[in-house]
Amino acid sequence: MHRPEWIGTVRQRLLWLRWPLIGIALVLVLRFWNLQIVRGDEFADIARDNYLRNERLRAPRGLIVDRDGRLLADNEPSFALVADARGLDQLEEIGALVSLDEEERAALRSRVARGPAPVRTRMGYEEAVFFESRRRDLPGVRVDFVPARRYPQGPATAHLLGYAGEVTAPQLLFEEFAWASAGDIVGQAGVERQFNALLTGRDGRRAQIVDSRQRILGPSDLRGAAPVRGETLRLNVSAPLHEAAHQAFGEEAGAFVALDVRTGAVLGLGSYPAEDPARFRADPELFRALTRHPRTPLLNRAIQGGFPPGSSFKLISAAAALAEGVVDADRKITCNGRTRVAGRTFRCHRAQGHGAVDLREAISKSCNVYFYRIAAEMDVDVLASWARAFGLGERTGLDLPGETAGLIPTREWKRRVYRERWYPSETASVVVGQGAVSVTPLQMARVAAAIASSGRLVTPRLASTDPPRRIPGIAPEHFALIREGMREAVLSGTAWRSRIPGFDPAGKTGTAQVANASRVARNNEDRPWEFRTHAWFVGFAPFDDPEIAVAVLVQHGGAGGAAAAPIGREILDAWRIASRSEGGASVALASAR
Amino acid sequence: MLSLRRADSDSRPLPDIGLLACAAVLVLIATAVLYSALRGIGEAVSFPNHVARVFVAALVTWGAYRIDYRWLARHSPLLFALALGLAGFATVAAGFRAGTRRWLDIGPLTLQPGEMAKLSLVLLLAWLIGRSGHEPLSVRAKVGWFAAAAALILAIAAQPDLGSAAILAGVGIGMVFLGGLRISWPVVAWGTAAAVVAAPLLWFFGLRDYQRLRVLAFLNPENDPLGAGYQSLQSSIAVGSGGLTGAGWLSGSQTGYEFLPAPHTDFVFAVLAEEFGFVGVVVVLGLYVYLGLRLLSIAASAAHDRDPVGALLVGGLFLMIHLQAGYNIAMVAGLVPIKGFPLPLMSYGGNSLLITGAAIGLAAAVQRRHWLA
Repeated sequence: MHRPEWIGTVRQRLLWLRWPLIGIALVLVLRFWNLQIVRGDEFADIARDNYLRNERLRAPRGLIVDRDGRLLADNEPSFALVADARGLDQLEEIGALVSLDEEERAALRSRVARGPAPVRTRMGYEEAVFFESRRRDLPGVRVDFVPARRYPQGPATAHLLGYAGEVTAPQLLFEEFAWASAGDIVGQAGVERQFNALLTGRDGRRAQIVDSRQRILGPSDLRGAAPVRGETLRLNVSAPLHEAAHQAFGEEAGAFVALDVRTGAVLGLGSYPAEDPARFRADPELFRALTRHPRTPLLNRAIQGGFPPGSSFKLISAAAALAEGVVDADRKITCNGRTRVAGRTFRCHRAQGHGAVDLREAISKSCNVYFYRIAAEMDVDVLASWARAFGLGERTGLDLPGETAGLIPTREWKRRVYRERWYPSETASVVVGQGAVSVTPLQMARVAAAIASSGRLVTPRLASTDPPRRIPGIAPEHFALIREGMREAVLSGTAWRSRIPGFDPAGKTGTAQVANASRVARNNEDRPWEFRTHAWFVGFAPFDDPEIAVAVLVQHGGAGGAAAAPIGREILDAWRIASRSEGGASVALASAR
Repeated sequence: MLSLRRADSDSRPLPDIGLLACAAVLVLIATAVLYSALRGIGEAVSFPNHVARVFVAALVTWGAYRIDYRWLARHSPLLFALALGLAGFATVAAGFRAGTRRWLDIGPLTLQPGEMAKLSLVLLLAWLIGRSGHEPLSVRAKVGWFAAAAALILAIAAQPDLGSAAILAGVGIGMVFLGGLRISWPVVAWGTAAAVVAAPLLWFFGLRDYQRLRVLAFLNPENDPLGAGYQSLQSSIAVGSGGLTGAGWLSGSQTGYEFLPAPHTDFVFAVLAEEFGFVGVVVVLGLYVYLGLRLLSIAASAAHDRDPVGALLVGGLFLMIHLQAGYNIAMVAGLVPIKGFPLPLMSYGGNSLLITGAAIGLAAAVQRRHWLA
């Protein structure tokens, strides 16, 4: 028989179970209330971040055009292979496909750990299709459309324009790039860097729907924005000058700067040899080769290189001597091939001497003895102060990063650096642009412009212009005297190879010795390249109404008259043709838009 | 009570409409949710399988309703032996799937011994305990049956299917409690103390690495979002993003874009929560509560009618269904560690659906017998 109390207990306990049932259900309701109602928006945001991938649409950088609207920099479509954190697992496969070595894989690994990073840039259409079709196997990488910079003038404008590239981690620490974020493309050198704020566009955004394996399912209409191209930058430069200079330099190393005599607008600025940045940015192998190249193609000699000016410095010495009254138009000095200054013998480049020469002849024939006599009668500090009045020994203020100041020696400088007093014989080296004197081609172009404009010292400018300031204390007729000497140099003197009928250039050559060169070999031609003389040409044109001033340096190029003057001629002639042709410029501008 | 009586006096009663309707509505809701979940993982072709199983489950329910549950209970040792054999066989010899051996392939059918073990244990205990009211068991028999039940649980645990084993243990303990076990508080105290001692031992020697990881992941889901905590985190995101009214049917992004793991099986409730929101959650929770209350009420009326086998059978079925449902939903809500077992009546999968259908049918049969209560 059933025991009634037992079956009663069973019934009681069965009914008692209702309470844990209801209690647990209430706990669950509260929990879902918390998750769905209290924290619902928070989780909805996370869910959206889960399935929406925000892609950056790169804005093209602004165009760069020359003064007549010719294209100097534009953009072309290209593709980049970008890896994200999930790509780390597939690094072996990816590395095999794009042939990365162990070192590059390690570098990529550390970059990807910080965020999506490009594995390969500037891929062609074929390559993009290759990776796009393997998206299922390689969900950690994607193909991005990236506008790539193109420089139509190639090496001719390479140093002027510089290049743009991804901002580096150390750069982000500096104020200049404080606005940027990792992955941004910023100007890294040259005009691209100087005018980066103007040229940088506004990146667009696009949201893509992805699944848990990050496969793109389609675009979302949420949160999109189209990219906006950066502004077009019009430079003062003229592209044909660069073309002409690039050709004229040929295999030689050197630099040129051409300035508008009246405004200081930079008409041309180039350094050679050079390589198209679009090429070496895409090819690390080529870039490494360039860094090891003996002629340093990555150095912008026009503003970053300090060189002894040689005889082209005589323009400064002449101006100083005239201003100080050491010489005048009529004073003649007899050159018989050598002279003694402060107990040391100095030779003229013409062993038999130039005979009795005045200032004009001394400039046109580049007579050293004439200037050695000036050195004997003038203090080096006085000379240095006149050199500084022409802007030497200091930065010109050009709107490009990385300019060097050069050096004009003084007693104080020698005491500071060598802890020695100044020997008067050293002044003889300074007057002819040797010794410690160091200038940039940009500074010498500015000197030429100052002489051509009878003493207006311009501020070189790539974009816009600044009013020039006057060099005080030198009479216009003194400048005229120097100009006549330079004109004579072209007509019958050392710079005859720069003659252009109808454009009347005037100029001064320079052949600057390199330290210790004579110990290597007696003749310049017998020396190794790095011991040969630097060739200079500093001039302006036309003689009667100067428009353009130019300075040409051929590094270890030999004699100024033979190596530099012909290049100067080509540049001046290119300006003559460009500035006197009509119509062509506006057509070029239309195609750039 | 929703149970109906026929108007004419001597006729048989109608089945428990409330119980059956509640289960049917749950299955219908589950069918809609499963369609979305299967579509999300690109398995929409499997949906007809589910529909077919629903019909088979309805037949099984009807069969269980028609069968004499007391006859079935009398033969439960046979059923139990079969379940024990299957579990042992699956553990020892069956093929590997998903790193564990919870399945047994027989032709086109895939048997899960764990599911069958649950029903057979409930039947066995209902018969043993229910009979003991007038025919007390000898101590030897008690020890023998206890050992047999323990063997089944261990066999399931060794598969390793700790989730099902824990449910079996819970059902067993619950039914012994229902059967009138005198609760001795010193024993409870000592037992608790023993558990405290055993827990670290179990942690270091009893659990496999992936099991330990799951527990750790449950405690800290954000620590390792792509690893073991991923499922828990994605489940919470799916649930939370549902909000009040949900993203809408077929519109859940966590489900549709495959962020939610196992959306058609273990995490089907998360799909419901994402697509139908808090409202859907409360409705389904309410249905489970109503189902539980119906089962307990049927069991209580059987007890009142002095049918201890029927009472314990339905009480055990309640424990079987609601322990699983409670744990599964708590897991989706991120309240307990992740365990792989289905949500009865809702998850995709034939074994669970058929066994639960049988359970509902048996409960309805017990109700029919005691409808006057």
